[in-house]
Amino acid sequence: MRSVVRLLTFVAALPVLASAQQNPGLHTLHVQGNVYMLVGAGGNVTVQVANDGVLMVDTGLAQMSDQVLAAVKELAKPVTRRPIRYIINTHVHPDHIGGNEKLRAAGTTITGGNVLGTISDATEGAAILAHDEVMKRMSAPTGALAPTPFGAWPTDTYDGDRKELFFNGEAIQMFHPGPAHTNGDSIVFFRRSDVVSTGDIFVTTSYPIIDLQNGGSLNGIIDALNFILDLTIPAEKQEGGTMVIPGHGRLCDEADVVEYRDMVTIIRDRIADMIKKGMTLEQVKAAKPTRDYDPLYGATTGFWTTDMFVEAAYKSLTAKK
Amino acid sequence: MRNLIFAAFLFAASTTVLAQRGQRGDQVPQTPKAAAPIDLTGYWVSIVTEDWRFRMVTPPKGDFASIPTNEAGVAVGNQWDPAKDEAAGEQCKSYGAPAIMRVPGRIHISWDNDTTLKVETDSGQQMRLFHFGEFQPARDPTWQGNSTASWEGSRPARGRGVPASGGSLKVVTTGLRPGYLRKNGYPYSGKTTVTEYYDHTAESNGDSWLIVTTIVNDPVYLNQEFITSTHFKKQPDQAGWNPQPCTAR
Repeated sequence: MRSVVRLLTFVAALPVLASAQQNPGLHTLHVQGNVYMLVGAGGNVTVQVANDGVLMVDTGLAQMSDQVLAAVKELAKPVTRRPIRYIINTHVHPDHIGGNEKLRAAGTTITGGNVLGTISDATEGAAILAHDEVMKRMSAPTGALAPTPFGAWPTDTYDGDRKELFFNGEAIQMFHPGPAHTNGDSIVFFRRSDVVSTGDIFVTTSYPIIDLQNGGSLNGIIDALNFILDLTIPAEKQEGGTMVIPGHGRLCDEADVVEYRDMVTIIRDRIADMIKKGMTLEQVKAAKPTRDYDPLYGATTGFWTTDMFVEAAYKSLTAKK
Repeated sequence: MRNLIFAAFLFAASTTVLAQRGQRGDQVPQTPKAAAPIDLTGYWVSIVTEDWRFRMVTPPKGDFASIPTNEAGVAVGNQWDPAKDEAAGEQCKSYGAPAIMRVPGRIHISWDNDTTLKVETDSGQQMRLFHFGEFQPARDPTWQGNSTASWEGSRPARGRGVPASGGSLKVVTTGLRPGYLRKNGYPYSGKTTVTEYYDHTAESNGDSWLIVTTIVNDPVYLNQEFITSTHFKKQPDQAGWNPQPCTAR
């Protein structure tokens, strides 16, 4: 009996092993419902796959596009012959939009009726949805050089606090929580699969990244984390239930977001208290307001160090409103 | 003439008011127990809706997240050795006043006398005494220290039919024997001051809640004040009361 179980386990693991062999460094994880998570492409990539085709949230780094595309095809193969239909960008950073151009080109927009008949290239490429601020930062006025290629730009933007679509038998909501990680963030909620894809508003690998240059805000991140907690509902004993895919790091549930929200709030309050006492940025850094959380989230080297976080937090809290 | 009559009326009226004030001043002042703007007595159970991983289990050595630590505190905390505490008979180090309200369990609040409110815990079987007015503090430091209490921000009872309302109980505790702020050995020193506010809410569904805000100030082992708020729900009786000794692990 034990051998049979072993054999079944091995057979069940084969597709994943095959995927790992074809896409070294890229890992595919089934989250729940129709939603999967690709890890290792830069930022986490969320993939919804079902009969109507593929919807992706973010596309990872440009240099990982081929691997991401291969992984998406691998996921879609047993489920549907339809292509990538939608790409949603959670924000503007290259580790989340880098694959836009290639993955869009591999997909097809859903059109029909007169549009299909009169505009020959109407179906060319998947639709890319994002907040309007993402479009502003990826594009440039006529005559100016845009920071990203035209083919990577959003094809459909929204300006309010939400946008919705229905795809693969599932209601999907995009929420813009206001300035948080950047000023163009979107949180994506798959209502039937019960999965939230947060972009870099929530990460498990570092302190929150406050991109001040792109309109980010520490208090905005806390508000956005609280908003995510409004969406999530835990299952028994506060475990599982709504699953949360962070912008970077491991798959989470509500309790993980609560811990993270508490951490950000506590550190915000500490730094705010030091600012109130008239402490300078250097004095705040020297006081190490993050010391107790550094083993979990701190870094002295790399893209986002503890010092950079404290500095961004200080500047965000002292910025003139 | 009219002005004179008016002045005489004002004088008579003010004299009457003063006389009445004088009579009130002669009244015996209410005891803290009688003047209590909120009734905190009874059995309460702690509701753990946050910090589960610090409160419901003993966190791993070195996990001091959410405590505004300093270098000295971390150094001491990393030396934590529960076996050593057990051998020394110091299992109650994490049950002192700065930490006891965060320990999950039940508490029983009662009036020890007209000026002393008593809080007993079933977890660790600790007893705290909150003294209103002057009292004789213990000479040596203890786990629960010396606590002075006062009613704050309340509207006192006025005559018949106007009960006291609102307000909270403020308790300031010093004279503490050094112990642990968290069960995994993060320390507090003997110079610690604990300031607590006990607030009560009555919900429309009949539930009654006690919210204890605890502010720990330790110039030796804390970088900033350590502030927590802890929730307790009122129990109809002592059912569930389960006294347990302190544990070091």
